[in-house]
Amino acid sequence: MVKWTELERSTVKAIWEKIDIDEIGSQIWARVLIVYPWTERYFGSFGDLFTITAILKNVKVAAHGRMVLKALDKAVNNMDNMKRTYADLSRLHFQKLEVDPDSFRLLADCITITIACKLKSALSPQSQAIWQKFIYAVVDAMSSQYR
Amino acid sequence: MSLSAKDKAVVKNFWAKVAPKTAEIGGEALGRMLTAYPQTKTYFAHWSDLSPSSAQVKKHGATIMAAIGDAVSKIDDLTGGLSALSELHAFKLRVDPANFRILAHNLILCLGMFFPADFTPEVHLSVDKFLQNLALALSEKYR
Repeated sequence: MVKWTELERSTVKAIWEKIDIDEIGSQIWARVLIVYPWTERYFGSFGDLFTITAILKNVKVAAHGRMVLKALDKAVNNMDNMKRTYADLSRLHFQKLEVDPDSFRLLADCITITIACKLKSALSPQSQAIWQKFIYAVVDAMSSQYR
Repeated sequence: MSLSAKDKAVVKNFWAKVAPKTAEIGGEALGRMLTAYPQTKTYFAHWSDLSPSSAQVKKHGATIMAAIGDAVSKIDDLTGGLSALSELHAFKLRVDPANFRILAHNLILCLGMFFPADFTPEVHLSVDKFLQNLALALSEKYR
């Protein structure tokens, strides 16, 4: 189980409070699909993903990004229980969706980068370090049922 | 994942835009790398101050970014252009190449932070590929 200090808890919450899930969620998913195009393998039903313009305009992409960020909200509010919080989702991604867990790391990095673009210098180096500890703990929890 | 003509054009264009801030971005990226990935501090134990505000960190970050800028101008032959730097990193500094990816992540983060409007997903894609190719060229002489 990951240990969190009071500073880490408050930093993660403070960053999360500044994030507009609707705005950022749609951006993040488009970024992942554009920068790491092999992740498109999981989204055959999303329609036109053939060009960058199409990805940026795709409503299913935007909706999916918002859905994923809403699920991240669970982690922010259950930092001491992430593995248990995400056990079902992890199993789903492994057994049913068949997602390579390496993709979680790519997504985590894109989330961090998008947040940095939004918050700019308000995301101090220390805050970035704390946020990354948090998001990699989420990646671990999401990978935990892959066995 | 080699660089297409489009990637090269995108990188050159973007680098021209960020030119006035490259020194600052380099220092910022290095400081963030040392803070968020403490294992990277092992390569800088000879410095007295490894905090993001350290003059040593800022100076070295600027040096790194200047070298990357030079690599942009040699984008058609990164392996040749980075040969001397590769030897330095392989034989003298002996930096584990896994760390190039870590630094790249922090560089990308800072580029996005300083130029959010210009760092579109399309630019992000080409810059990510460029830094990956740069890391490969830098690792060329390792073994």
